[in-house]
Amino acid sequence: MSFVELRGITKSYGSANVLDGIDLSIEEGEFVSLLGPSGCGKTTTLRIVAGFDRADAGSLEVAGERLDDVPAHKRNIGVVFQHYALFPHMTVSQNVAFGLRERKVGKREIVTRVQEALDTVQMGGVGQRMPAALSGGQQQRIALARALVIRPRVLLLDESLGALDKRLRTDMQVELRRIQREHGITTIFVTHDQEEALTLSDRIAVMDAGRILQFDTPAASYQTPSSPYVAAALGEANILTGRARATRAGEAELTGAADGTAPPVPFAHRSPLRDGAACTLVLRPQDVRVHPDDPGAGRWTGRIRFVSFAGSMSHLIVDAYGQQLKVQVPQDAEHAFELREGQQVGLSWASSRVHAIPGGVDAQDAEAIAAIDGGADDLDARGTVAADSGR
Amino acid sequence: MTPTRRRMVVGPLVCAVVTVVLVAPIVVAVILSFTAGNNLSFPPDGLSLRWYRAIFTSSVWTTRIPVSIQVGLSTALLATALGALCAVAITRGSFRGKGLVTALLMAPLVVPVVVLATGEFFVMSDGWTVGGFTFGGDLIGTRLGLTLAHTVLALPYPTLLIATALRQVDPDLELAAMSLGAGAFSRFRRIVLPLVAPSVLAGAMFAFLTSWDEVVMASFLSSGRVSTVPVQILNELQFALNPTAAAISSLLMLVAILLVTLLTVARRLVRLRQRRAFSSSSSSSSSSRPPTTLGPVLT
Repeated sequence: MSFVELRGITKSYGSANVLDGIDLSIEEGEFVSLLGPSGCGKTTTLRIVAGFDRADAGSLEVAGERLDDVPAHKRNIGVVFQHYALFPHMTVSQNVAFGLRERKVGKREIVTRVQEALDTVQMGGVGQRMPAALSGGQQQRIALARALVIRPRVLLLDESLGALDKRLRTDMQVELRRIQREHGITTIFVTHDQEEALTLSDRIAVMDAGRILQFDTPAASYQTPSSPYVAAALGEANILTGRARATRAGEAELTGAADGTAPPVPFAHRSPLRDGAACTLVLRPQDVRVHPDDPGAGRWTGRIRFVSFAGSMSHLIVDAYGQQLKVQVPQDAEHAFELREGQQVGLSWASSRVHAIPGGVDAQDAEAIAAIDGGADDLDARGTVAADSGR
Repeated sequence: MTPTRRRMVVGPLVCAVVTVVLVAPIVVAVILSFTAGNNLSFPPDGLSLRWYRAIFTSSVWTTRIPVSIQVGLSTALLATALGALCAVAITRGSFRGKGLVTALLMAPLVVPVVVLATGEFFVMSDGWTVGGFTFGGDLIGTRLGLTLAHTVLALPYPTLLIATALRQVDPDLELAAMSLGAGAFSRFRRIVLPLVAPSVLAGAMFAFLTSWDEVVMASFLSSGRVSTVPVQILNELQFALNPTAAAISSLLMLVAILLVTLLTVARRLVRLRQRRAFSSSSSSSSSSRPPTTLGPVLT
């Protein structure tokens, strides 16, 4: 019995299924991210836990208590909103004190607890200011203090860092993790930012189209994704599809990858594999090595289409057998500065770095993956209802 | 002259002419109210306060002024309370015929007052019976009758202003309050109401002013004993051009100007308080300001 238990939660608006059977078990003190594009149902899940929305079916338990019929204001669950939602007519102190006043906490205790909460988020000196007089990052901290001061059983963060600029966001991530650890508070964090999810979470639930595709630690989800979609959602990935052919015990190779003319790609497999079955390989860009001097040296050959320099590394796009491979070359590689667009190169990788997933990639998956690769914050190309953003 | 130069001259000129045309009669009336003579003729025969003194000594006016004030204040109170409820219903509620109800609430703005007044007259004098329940009757020449009729006329203003303000309150604020433990009543009292308060005040003011200078409906519903100031002015002017009318008109106007000034000052104070310390950094939750004039609502 976990601390937070969602079982078979479904929710539809009209004819659109927003949640299609969500099961989630979260341990006490755990930091869990719900990761997915807008419209995937992550915010709806959060709103159901908060009590702002009601599930059509399924059950929700926190600390062994059924919450389905408990109204939001009696759940004792803290929420930090994307746009902070600070009360504009109250000072910072009044904002933080709001939940305590609702709980009829004594005046003197309110003063100490508010100060404590403001100190926690390192905003001790701004109690008498109005929210409008603070910067976005400061407002975010106040919103966090306001949610923490009521000592909630669960803390919900709805894209809470999304409105901050990148540098500030990184600071807040560190801060958030520190506070979360210190308080040992069970936290559910909704985000569409994979990097944020990977950095912050104990476990990540990758969501798409109202379902949880994989719920695992960041490392496990990254290294052994259960589906091509998860692979693309967490970090950059090259997805190779083809047919499997067993070679030796525990080893196989992928044939007919890319346009079909690519040389076979060997990989290790753990689960039994049927000869000739559709198979998908995940190959991370940093695991691919390029050989500019000797195009014949690698497993594959290709032509560099695009080079972009990004400080510690270069990102390449390499055309190989009709497929575009993403490759990362660290700056300390000996040939890192010699790579030119149009150059013919050999490509190699260790077969142990290739992760195999049984089954192919259907059109729907391909589209979803393309949406992620497009850096699609708000892409809703699959016609899913944008219930997440458009309330 | 270049087109730009012409525009720069013609624009202000038109404004000036329009302003003069609009303001001149008012200025003339105010000047005339200080006349020392017995007639409304321009220029006045010397200056004095005798007509203002006459207002406060003549029994005609000393009985009318309290009626106008009482009816105005009651109308403001009633229309604002009802308007606030209507506004909550049409912004937060979902019920059948919401569009129709909203349109009906706004109807007094477009229905000719004479038509409304004629209907009101029969309701107020004879009563309106629906089934076993009779509404009105014997209300001609009563403060209650005047108040009810004026409330109908005034209702759209607080309703519109408060509804617009409610729509601008970020729904996340209420959700945040909810997650912090606030029930429905507490959310309304501690979050929503303070945020729309300026609009409530503005609505009350517009309702008061609607009643304060209303003459058509009031003349249908007044009696010789209970009548309002505007009706009395009309009556006076029918018989003689008495400078008292000019004096009392000036007073009516003074009240209106004072109210508008008061509202502006109140609005400034609220804004000042919200922006204390630093200049406001743009934030979605605090940048929206509730409307306190009808400009953004009616256009």
